Amino acid sequence: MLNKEFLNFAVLMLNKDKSNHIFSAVLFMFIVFILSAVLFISNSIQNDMLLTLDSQAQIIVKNQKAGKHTQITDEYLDEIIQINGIENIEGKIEGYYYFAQDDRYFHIFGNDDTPFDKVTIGEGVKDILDKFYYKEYFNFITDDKILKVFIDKTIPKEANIISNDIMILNTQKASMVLGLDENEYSYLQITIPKDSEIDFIANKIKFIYPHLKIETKEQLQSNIKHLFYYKGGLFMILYIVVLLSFFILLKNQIDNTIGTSRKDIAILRAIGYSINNIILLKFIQNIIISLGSYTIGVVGAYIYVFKLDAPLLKYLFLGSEISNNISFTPTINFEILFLIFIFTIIPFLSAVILPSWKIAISDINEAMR
Amino acid sequence: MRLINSLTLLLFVLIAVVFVDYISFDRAYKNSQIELIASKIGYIKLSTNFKNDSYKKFVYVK
Repeated sequence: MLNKEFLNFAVLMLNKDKSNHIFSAVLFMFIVFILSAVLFISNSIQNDMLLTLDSQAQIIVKNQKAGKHTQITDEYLDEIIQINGIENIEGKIEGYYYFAQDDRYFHIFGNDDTPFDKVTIGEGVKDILDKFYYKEYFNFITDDKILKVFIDKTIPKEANIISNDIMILNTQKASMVLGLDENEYSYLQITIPKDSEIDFIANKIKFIYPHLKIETKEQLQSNIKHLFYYKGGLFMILYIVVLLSFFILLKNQIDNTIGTSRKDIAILRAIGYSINNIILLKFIQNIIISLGSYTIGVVGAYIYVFKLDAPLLKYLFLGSEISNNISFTPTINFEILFLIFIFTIIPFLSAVILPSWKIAISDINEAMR
Repeated sequence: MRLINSLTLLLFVLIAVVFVDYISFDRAYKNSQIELIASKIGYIKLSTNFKNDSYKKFVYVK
C-alpha cells in the first residue's frame, strides 16, 4: 500500500488538520530543544574541563579552619615530603581578590614565570578593568599598601572557560596581594610518579593530618564529570518542566486521535482501508511531525549553544558574577541524542498509533455516529 | 508531495549546515590554549563557577 499516492494522501491529511498538529510539533521541538541545549552545554564544559586534568597535580592538600580554607605552612610541607613515594611537593598561591569598586571577586594565581610587576588577565577581568579605566596597570589595595602591577597581556578568549575571571601574578606578588607570609601557601601540590600509589599516599597524609582536605586527581575528575548534578536543584526543576511538557504533548496527541480523527478513521475503514493501512497512515503522519520537530529542535539547540553562546541558559551553568564571554566548543554526544530520540519519538508514536488501532478495530457504525 | 519534498530538503540542509560547522571547528587551537593556561595555573576551576556564593565566602582565616 505504501506508494507515492498513499504518501501524498497522508501529507494532505496532515495539512488538513495542521492547526492540531502545529501545537504538537512546537511542543515536541521545545522539549528536544531544551534537553539538547542543556546536554550540549554540560558536555562542552565537561570536555573542556577534562582537558585540563593533565595539568593538575596528583594530590592537592589544603588546610581548613572553622570549615573554611586557610593558609598552609612550610611545616606541613616539610613533614609530608618525608612520605615515601612522593617525587615533588610545591606550595602554590591561589585565592580571591575583592574588587570593591565593582563588587566582584577576581581569581588570583601565583606563577613563577610571570615578571614581578606584571599581571596576565582573563577576558572577563579585562572588561571590568577597562570599565574603570585600568587599561595599562592595576592597583591592588591590601591592608597596609597599594600594589601596582602592569597589565602584561590578556589570555585569548578560547581559554575563557577556565580563564575568564583570573589574574596570573608572580608568586611573590600574589602572596602579597592575598596577605600571605613567605612560608604560607594556599595549597600544596604533590607529584607522585606512580599513579597506583596516589590513594595510599593520600590516605597516609589524611592519617597524619586528619584536618587537612585532600583532593586526588581521580576525585577532581569525578567532580568534573558530576559538575552539573542531574538530581540537583535547578536541573531537577528543568527536567520536571520538560517531563510535564512531554505529558501534555502525549495527552494532546491522544485527544487529537480520539476526537477529530475518529470519524476520519471510520470513513477510511468504510471505503476499504485495512487496519494496517490506517496504522501506516497515522505512522507516516506522526513520523513526519516527530522527525521534523526532533531535527529542528536539535539543530536549533546547536545554533543556540555553539553559535549564539547560549544566552540566558549559560548563566544557569556559569553564574552571572562576571561577564561571561565563554564560547562553547562544539561537542555532540551522539549516545545521549539517540536516547532522547528513543525516549521521545517512541512514546509519541505509540500515543497515536495505539488509539488509532483501537478505533480502527471498533465498530465502524459506532465510530461514525 | 511538494510539501514533503521541501520539508525533507529543509531537514537535510539543516543537518548539513550543522555537520559542516561541527567538523570545521578548530578544536586543536582551542584545546592548546586551554592546556597552556591550565599548565600555568595548576589548580583549575570552572571560570565563574556554578558554586559562586561559596567562593564569595572564601576567606583566609588569620
